[in-house]
Amino acid sequence: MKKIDRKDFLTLAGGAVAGGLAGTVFSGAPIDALQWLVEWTQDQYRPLDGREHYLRSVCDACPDRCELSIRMIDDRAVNIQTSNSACPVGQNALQLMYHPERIPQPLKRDGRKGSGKWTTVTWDQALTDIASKINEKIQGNKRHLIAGINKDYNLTSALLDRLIAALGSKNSYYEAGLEAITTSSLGGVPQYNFENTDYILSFGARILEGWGPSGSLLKAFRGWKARGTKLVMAETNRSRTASMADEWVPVKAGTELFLALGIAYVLIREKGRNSGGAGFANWVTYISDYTPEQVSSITGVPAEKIREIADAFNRAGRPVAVSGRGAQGISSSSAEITAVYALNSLVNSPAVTLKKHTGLGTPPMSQGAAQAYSSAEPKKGLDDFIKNGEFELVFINEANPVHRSVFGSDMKTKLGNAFVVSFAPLVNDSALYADYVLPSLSFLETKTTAGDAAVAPYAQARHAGQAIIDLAGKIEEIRGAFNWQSYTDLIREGSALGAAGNFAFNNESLKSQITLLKKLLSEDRNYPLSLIPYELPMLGDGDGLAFPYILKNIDGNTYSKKKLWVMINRQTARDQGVSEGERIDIESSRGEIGSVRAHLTDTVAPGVVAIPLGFGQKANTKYAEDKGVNPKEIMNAEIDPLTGNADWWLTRVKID
Amino acid sequence: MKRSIVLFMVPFIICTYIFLMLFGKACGDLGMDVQAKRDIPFSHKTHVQVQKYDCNTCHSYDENGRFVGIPTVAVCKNCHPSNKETKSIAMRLPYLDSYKDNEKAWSSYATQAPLVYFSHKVVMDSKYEDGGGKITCASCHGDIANNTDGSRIKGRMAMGVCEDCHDAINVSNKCAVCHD
Amino acid sequence: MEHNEKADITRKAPAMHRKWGMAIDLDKCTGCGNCSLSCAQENNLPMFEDDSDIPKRVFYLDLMKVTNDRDAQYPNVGVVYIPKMCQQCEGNEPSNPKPPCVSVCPVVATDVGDDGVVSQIWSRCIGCRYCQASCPYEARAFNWWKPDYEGRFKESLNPEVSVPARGTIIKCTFCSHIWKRERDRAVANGELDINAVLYTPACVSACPTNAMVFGDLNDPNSEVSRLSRDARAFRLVHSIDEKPADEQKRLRGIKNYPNPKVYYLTSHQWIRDMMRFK
Repeated sequence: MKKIDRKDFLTLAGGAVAGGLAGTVFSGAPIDALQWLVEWTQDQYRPLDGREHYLRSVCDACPDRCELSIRMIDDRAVNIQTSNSACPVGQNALQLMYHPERIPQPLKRDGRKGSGKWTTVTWDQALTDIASKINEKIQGNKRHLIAGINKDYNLTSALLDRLIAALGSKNSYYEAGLEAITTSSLGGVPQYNFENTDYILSFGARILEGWGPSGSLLKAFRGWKARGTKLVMAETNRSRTASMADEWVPVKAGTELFLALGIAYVLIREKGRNSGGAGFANWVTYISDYTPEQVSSITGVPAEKIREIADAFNRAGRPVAVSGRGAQGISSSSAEITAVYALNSLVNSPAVTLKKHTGLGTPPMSQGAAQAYSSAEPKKGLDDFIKNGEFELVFINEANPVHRSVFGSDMKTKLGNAFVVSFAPLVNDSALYADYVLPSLSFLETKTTAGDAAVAPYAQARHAGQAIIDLAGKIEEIRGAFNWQSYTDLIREGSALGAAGNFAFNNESLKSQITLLKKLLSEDRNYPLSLIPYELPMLGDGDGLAFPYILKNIDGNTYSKKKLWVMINRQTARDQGVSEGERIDIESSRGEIGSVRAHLTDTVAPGVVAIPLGFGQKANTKYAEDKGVNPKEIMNAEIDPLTGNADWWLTRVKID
Repeated sequence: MKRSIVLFMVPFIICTYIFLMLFGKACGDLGMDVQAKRDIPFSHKTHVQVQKYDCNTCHSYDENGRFVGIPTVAVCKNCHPSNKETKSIAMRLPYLDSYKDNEKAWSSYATQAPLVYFSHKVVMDSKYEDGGGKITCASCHGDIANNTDGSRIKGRMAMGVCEDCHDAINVSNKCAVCHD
Repeated sequence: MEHNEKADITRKAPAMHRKWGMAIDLDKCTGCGNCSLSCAQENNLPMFEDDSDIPKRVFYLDLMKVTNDRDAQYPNVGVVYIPKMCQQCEGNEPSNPKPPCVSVCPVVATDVGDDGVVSQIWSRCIGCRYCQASCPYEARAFNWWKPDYEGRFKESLNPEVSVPARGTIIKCTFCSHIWKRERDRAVANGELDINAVLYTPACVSACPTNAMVFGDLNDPNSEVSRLSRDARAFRLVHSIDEKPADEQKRLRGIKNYPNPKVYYLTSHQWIRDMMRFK
């Protein structure tokens, strides 16, 4: 055989290479390689699959108890639908439940307060330590320095109230929400029958934008048109509720109280109406100055319009007059709430009743506790307590006074000097100053009136009510007041409503409010503008900021690219020399917030700056932190004598 | 034959064969889970051909039409009770005792391609123009009914296979029919 | 020969007779945002570090806040929220739908289905963004970054919707995966007629005031088709609707109009005026 020379070798090699190529091509490998390349560049994440099934439950987040249908994939919830009607709280439960910054187990402060450094501890360690701190207070005769701050009225808040009372303290407060301020003004929460009313007169209550029991309200709203229900909205700025109302009554900033007094005047003097309630006779003499003409000069509403509204309200069969300005961040003075409620009372409307949260009643107390309890002098409300109160040990139940109270910075200082226990699913601005953060649950993870929880609790998170019962079990003195194994024994009692006593007209509060308002409304050369808050859909007064899908919904004229925008009336802005998009600082007598952008719009009244609530949080997960500014820092901080909370709705400001 | 042709063709054919086999085998695995769990030997042939069970007996559907896929051990235990008194060894299968009822002894070779919305129920219920249903499990999964040891018998399920069938039964081949 | 027969079959009218459309009553919309939230949850919308960052974020449903303050002065102003998603256009000729986006797509990543829904297959999309530029409604979003579902957010993802990749266009498809899910359920119950299956997209089922209505525009008795003929109905930036019929025909001969399938209803003239090119 001929020797393989160079040429033959090349032929052989060529054959091998060509064969290799042919084999590769015909095997389909190039196509697969391409497929692989495509998939690699797409960098696909595949959602986990599993067995699909549906769970029925109810949302116990508010008294509406919407029915839920939860779409489950294996044991994960992926979608929530409501058969009833819904509010974003229910829809958003998934984002809270699966939030990457959910607290998995109790956190103990490790470092300076507010530094956000934590070590994880077991429940037993945390509760034992908290119990020993409580025992120190008991032994040190400092029972009156124990306090509890709740967000809403519910089962957990009732348990916390009981815990505080059993320890001999009356320092049980609620954040200044609608229920808290109406309870302290009227002795109960007005229950409006929105399903069955024919005339709604709202004083700044943005009832279609998340106000009050929004689920049942929106459900009732569906039927208003067919039933001929008329909605009249008295408000300064053109909100969505004002736009949807049959009639919008633009009032000068902050003068809703006077409009209510003017209508009451007409009802009493011109329609011969009369109301029950202690102190009514005095109240009548006191408001006798507020003739429609006088009110017209204060509110800017024509006198005929006031008479017209009063007449319509008087003639309606089941009218409701609604107070509580705002959507979720509510602020109204006790005088205003009383005056608006008086309208319902004057026409004796069958669509409004006064109910009161019953709670769990006064617990049995030890001798020491009973003594301390009887001599305790609690403050009227949370803001009063923050500003003037004293505490050394405080429980914060889901509340966020550091962010939401106008005395947030005072609260920070005071929390810094106290022993703080916070119940929260996410570390918010107030929990940041806690010594212990105890992880609580989203409502999908808790047992409900309808039965078992839909989803197993995350990690070691525990129902806050359960944590309170467990804690009480560790404190010798109060163990007897908590004779329950589990919060589930109490589910039905937690936020029950009972009949409230008769409400009373408090003339002192009315007087002081009117003086204050007159001062606020008078021309002030230094602070010529009025600052009024507004809220964004779903974001409310700040909780929503922690969720990406809610951030997606913020419009560009409110917050984008790290810049917060405020709305200013076009003409006012021109007078102040402010143009669209310009950077401005807003200053009130309390301080200054800087670097917001001006958006010029005529949806706000002349002389008014409208600023969104909820921004400017320091914690509440990485999604919420350091976004915009918190207007509460500069908002009006005069404390209402009855609600004990600041009426921050109207603030006099100037802009630079 | 010319020497140079022989010199070229011999390595050409050898290499073509080697690479075809090599890559062909590798590519056949695409879209398949080659490491599928096979804890217990299972003969489809015994069950389908000899015992005459229907595929649906074990590979059933959820009430919402979802394909359950690989059955749990509980399904096996319907016929192979762990009851010690059962006489026939074949009927007893003691190794099932080490499983909980909701566990699975196998996992699937066939994997669902990403980005596809696919319903076994809808495909199996589809009909030709003449009203006849001609799709069987074997159309996509190969002749599994004659498989004796649970080994993998058919490779890739490429999109073209779906498209041919859609064409034949007059179902739109627009992307959104299956993809989302 | 056999091949030709097949081709003939596929050229027959599609078996699907539905034409999905939506009607949104702006008089009933409170702007609560449930639709947007529910949409994001259902469709696994990409999350980023900061979703308030408008150029970066992507969404299907944009809850637009619209006011007439450019023309009107306090107190004659109004505020309305307009939920705006893909309007599922069909172009001038519904039997051969050619919406602006579909006609410019070079890779058939977007197409009109037999049910009239404009699909968007992001795995086909090459990210040229022609469709985004051609869309009159800005209903398409470009996914500039890789979605960042942190930690446990992944667990709440819907397995029926594929997570979009970086560098592709995404948009609303009327939750067509829900229709597929409902179709499966129907088949499982023995209902093989594809036209018997109805469904509700996530936004519509989340609407607490029933402002959004979804259904079949081909069925003259459906609520949505009744609303689409209502005197209050209008379509976004589609001023051709208000012209006489022969003028409409003439204009259609000149230009391809989007002809969307989402109808809005309002009793306020200013909203109509705002939603029209001037």
